Amino acid sequence: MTNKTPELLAPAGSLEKLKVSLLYGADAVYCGGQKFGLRAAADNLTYDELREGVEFAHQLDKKVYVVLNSFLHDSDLEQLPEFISFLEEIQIDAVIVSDPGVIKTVKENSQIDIHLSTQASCLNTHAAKIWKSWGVKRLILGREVSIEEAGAIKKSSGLEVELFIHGSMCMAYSGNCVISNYTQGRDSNRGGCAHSCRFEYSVDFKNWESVETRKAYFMSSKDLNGIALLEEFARHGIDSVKIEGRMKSSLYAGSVSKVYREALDYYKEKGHFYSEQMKDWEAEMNKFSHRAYTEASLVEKAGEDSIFDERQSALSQDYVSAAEVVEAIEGEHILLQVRKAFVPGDELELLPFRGPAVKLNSEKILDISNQEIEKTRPTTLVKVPYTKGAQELNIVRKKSYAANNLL
Amino acid sequence: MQLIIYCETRKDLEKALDCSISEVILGHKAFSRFGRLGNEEFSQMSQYAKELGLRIIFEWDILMTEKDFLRAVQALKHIDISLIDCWRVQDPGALEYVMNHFAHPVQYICETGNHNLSALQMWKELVGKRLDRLILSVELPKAKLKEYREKLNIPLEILGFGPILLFYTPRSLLTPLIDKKSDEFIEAVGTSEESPHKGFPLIQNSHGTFMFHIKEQCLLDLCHELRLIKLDYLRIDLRQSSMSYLSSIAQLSLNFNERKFEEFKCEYPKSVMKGYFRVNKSDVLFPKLKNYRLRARDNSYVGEVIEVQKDKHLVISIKNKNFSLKNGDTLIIHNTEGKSKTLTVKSLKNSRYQEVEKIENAVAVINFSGGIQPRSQIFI
Repeated sequence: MTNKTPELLAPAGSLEKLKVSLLYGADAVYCGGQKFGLRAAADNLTYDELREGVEFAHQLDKKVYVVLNSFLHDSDLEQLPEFISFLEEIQIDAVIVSDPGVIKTVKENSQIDIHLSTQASCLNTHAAKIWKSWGVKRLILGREVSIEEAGAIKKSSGLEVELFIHGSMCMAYSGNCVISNYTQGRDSNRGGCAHSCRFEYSVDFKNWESVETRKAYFMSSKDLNGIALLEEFARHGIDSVKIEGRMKSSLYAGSVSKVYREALDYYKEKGHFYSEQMKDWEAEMNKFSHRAYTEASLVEKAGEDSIFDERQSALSQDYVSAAEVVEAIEGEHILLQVRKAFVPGDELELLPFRGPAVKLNSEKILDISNQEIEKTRPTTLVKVPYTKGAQELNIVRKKSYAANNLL
Repeated sequence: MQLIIYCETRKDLEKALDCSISEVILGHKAFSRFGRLGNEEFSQMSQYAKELGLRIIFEWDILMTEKDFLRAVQALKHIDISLIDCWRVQDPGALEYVMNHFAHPVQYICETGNHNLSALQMWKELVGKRLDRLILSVELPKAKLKEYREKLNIPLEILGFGPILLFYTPRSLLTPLIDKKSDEFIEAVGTSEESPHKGFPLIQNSHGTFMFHIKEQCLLDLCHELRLIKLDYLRIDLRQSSMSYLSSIAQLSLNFNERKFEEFKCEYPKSVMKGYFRVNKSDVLFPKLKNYRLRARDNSYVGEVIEVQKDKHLVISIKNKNFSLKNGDTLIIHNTEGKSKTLTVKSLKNSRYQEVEKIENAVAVINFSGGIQPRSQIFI
């Protein structure tokens, strides 16, 4: 028996991350071109890279959605039709849009499906009716919407619904924060967010004189983690679950996609999540950089415990990204591009696209000219003995120093 | 150009009338972000406003998830809305609801985004004849306000005086700091060492937590310009200061006087600014955020340098599938400092470190050249 599961949608901040996310199990990826998205500082994809990314995804029978979710000004809109025509030519699967003017422009210039960005803060059935009347096919609902509410919106609107399931969260209603605009001169709703909500603030209380000034990261949200709620997503018919993180590493994109893929596949086959593996999946979520986790508003409204009142440096991380596989020649070597230095004998794990992590033999490390070396350096290439199953773009991770110290 | 004001007490209504203001916004605490009126107070205020001949706007500007929306609809049944003249909404759901359940005119708040003519036309067409006005973003500069007023041909409103809302979340962010119940009204001021601005006003109430700019929007000295571009309504928001300033504001908006304006600014408890009224350049820094390596990629793109061993070799990853690298080829390399270098391939090896004649779509080891770093971009 096959049980219906939501689409797994992962971030693609670059062409490499697009491939990594898909190879590690995402059904679809979302990425930006050089303009019109909300991540001005991300690598984003050039025209050629978008074309290659779409071809790559479609060969795997997977999808690519392109973000056009800035709150565009008139001058931005003038340049949009050409880009839309290009997107239609390369046959992307949908655009992600938040502005009614962009919806109009997309409809006038193409037949591309339109997904409403979370940036539009669509939160209820009545709002859904308006977006539907404008031709939107899917709603990426606000992060304030619970899974149950999302199910109700889907049922009453007849539209596809998508919810964030993992990653960093805006504390504000999306699209309702302009701190960067006024304090840094960078339009947060056109890709210039300076993350002022992650700052530490000293807070003076005006009408509670007895309360002392407090220093706190009071506007910073914990990271979303909905792995334990996957059954709820499936039960309420959520069409797509989305992983945040176009600015994050390949280790993140690949690792999170892999965990959710395994969990969704388990559900597809078994129809439940009563699995010993749930503990493993949850443990895997701690093996890359993240803030403390919360389920935010997926079940109940996000409460006080959803605030991440700590420095950014307090991010949890059991493993670090050590390297990426550049080339794997069976019976010979694996060529690695080093991200974080390691030495012979370090505990390295190769994360295959499917199946459990495998130990990598790192007893003997060679440089590219086949000379044995005693220590690797970031941005260099090294060879380790071939390990079965290794493939180009696999991620290699290393237990972090902090985690080792805890053992 | 008419002024429009929020009123919370009977005295506020009288002050509005004294200042020749004919339209007032009433904020019910269950529907308005900063509303303080309960059912009874709303009813009494409505009656008094009508006695004074004022036009009443019911403000419904909170954002609502599905369950919040159902609660709001229930709450609405217990509010006397018989005297209101108009709805003012922001959540598209609220817009859809009032359009289908009431016959009043509708004012739609387009302050979040909607920074282009097409978007505003979409809202105009959606609401149709019942559209009383659009409330536009304060991020729009004067030139755009003028253009939109001419092309949309509908009444427009902007914030003329009052706090600039920077941040709106439904979460209660201040209660954890003072251990109070989350639906209590809490005011505070936040300052971060990481921001050049000090003292952001903060409010928490039953609808969530709000942060405002340290300065308030003030276009009083520009009212003559706003009249010239035929702006219809200028909103005054004194809910965080005092209605005692209304007379001065109304006078300055009608007959601007530089000296009186300076006196007013000295007297007013907060600093003021014009915000983006003259120009909005909030995207000029984007090119600096952009990864410059990507700016010039086209068909001449070959790939990327992935390792540099000084005096020994460069390792490159060939990403252009249609390109075959051979000895003698001349490459143009844009290094990570943005400088260009030309390099002729004199030595070509594969990843096994074996000499080869050509390499396609793979890793290639070539002769070293100085001034090139990993992630430098290669072109032909």
